[in-house]
Amino acid sequence: MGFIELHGVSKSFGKNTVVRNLFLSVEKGEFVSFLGGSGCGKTTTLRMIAGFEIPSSGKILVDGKDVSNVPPAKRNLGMVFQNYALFPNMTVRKNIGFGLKIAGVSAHEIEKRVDEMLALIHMEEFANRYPHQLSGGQQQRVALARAIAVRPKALLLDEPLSALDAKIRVRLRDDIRAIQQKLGITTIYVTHDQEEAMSISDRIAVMRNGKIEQIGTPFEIYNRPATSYVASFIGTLNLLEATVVDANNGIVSIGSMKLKTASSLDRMQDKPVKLTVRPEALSFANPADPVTADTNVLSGTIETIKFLGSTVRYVMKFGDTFMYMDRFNNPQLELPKKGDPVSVIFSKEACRILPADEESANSLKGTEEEL
Amino acid sequence: MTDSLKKERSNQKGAEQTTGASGALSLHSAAKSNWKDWLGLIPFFLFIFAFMVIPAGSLLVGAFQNRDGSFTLINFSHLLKPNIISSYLITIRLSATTALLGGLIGFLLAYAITIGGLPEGVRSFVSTFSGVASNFAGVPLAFAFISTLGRVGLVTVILKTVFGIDLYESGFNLYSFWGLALTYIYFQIPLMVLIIQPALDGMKKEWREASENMGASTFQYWFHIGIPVLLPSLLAALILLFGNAFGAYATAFSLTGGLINIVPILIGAQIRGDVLHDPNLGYAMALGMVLIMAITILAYSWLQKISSRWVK
Repeated sequence: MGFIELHGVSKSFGKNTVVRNLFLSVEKGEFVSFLGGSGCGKTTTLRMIAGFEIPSSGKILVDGKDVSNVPPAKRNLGMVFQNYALFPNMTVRKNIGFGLKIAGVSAHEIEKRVDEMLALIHMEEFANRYPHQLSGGQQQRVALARAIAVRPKALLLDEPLSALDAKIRVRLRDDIRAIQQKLGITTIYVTHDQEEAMSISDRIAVMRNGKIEQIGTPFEIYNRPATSYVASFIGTLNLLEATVVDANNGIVSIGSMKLKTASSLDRMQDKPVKLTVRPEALSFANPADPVTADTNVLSGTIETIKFLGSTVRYVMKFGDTFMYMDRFNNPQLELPKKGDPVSVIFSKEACRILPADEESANSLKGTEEEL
Repeated sequence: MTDSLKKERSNQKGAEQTTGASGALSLHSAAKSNWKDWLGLIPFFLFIFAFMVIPAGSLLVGAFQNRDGSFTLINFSHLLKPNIISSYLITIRLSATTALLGGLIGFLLAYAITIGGLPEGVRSFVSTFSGVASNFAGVPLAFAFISTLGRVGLVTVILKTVFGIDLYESGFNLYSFWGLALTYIYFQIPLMVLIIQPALDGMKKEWREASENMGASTFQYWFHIGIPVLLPSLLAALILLFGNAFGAYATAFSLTGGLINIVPILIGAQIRGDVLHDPNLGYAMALGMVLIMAITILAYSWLQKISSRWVK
């Protein structure tokens, strides 16, 4: 039994259903992220766990107790908001000590606990400042300290870094993970940033249209996406429309090209499917390398080259199909020009077959309009 | 984490330096502005000079003169006469009462249309109505109240004939202190709505949720966060309402004639000169009003300073 459990939770606002029959189990001490685009229901789900929204149906259990109708003040769950929500009329010290004061903790104990929290977020010398005298990153640290000062059963974070600039965001997410691991506190984190979710979570629940599309470790989500939506939402992806031509041997066709896959294609003979392959799985074919039976080789031309800093993205055309390939950048790299002929190879294990009738998020679908 | 904090602090330093640079840039821009930029302000300054500086100067001088134009302090000694002291007290009481009652009702109304979450249409209606009603004062307002709550006013008559309630028999009198206060409250409420609405709009929903999340009750939220955050705006609003009532003349005069001796009516009587005609005493009384407002504003500034230490 999980520490936080959602049993068939749904939420509707009027006729608009934003969360649909959600089941989830979060273990004690686990860090789970809700990841999805705008309107996928991730924040509403978090707010239902916090108690700010009442589920239209279903049950929410925390530590084995049904809290579905328990007011937020009685749930003992710490929450960190997107815009910090620090009380502007209180100093950092008073903000952090507020929950303790409300709980009737003695003044001496409050002082002690606040000092501990200030040390944890390394902001001892900012104790007597007001929120407007702090940077966004510092305010969010204080918000985090305030949420955990009351020693809540779990920590809920609603896009806590989205208002911060990129560099501070990266640093602060590492800090959040470090504090979470140090305290061993069960944490649910809402974000639309897949890189953020991948870097700090034990598990990620990818949400779409009020449902969890897939839940798994970042490794599973990235490498073994269950749907084309998940596959395309996480990272960059070549998503190609294909037809199964040899189900027994896992061979599909894309236009005139035939590609080998390691997927089971039972009862899919002649059916349309989606073939996905990550750009980093492709590499330029070296004439010296042996081409095995498990390798796909494609010949085409360079269409565009995009310099992304640590990587270089090649957009290539194979017949009528476009594909991405990512290579690590290095100063000795010789970049081909548009129109140069190229051959690329990728293993059949890198190809993943998904049902054809699903919508996907952002990905290269292999058509010219996408470019 | 220490490293990241150090980096953040160094970024902050960088940000400060950037601000410094942009500050220098804006100073440079200010220095570049030429005399043409000030042309637009000329009508404003002429207006202020003609209708504020000159009258205030003549009032100040006149307060220290007798009818012959010689210097005297007699006008100020007359301010201590019982009828004038009583006039000041009534005016202060009337202004404070209507500021507090109008402020309270206006606050609740503004709360209902902002944080209370009433439909947008209601909010628009109340805001528009407040804009109009806050400027509805003087003779038309007095006439409106006389025709509704006067001795033979519409509401008075309906209450008497339909419901058997005789307002005047039960002690109400439109031409009394409370009648005048009720009339003032008519424009004090919408003025409060207009002033406090932006402050209420600035109250973040997340503050309430964060406090609730940490176990606070509604009362605790308002006691520790809501009221302290609103206090500077509330004080500013109350002082404005007080001043609004303190200087009102036409409404009181049209409604009560000379029945209630508030200071502006008494000053009018001294300056206009019928039975009482002593313009210099009128000037001294006006100066007394300025002094009371100055003391009120000083008290307000002190309270404001205490209550808004956290404001940027």
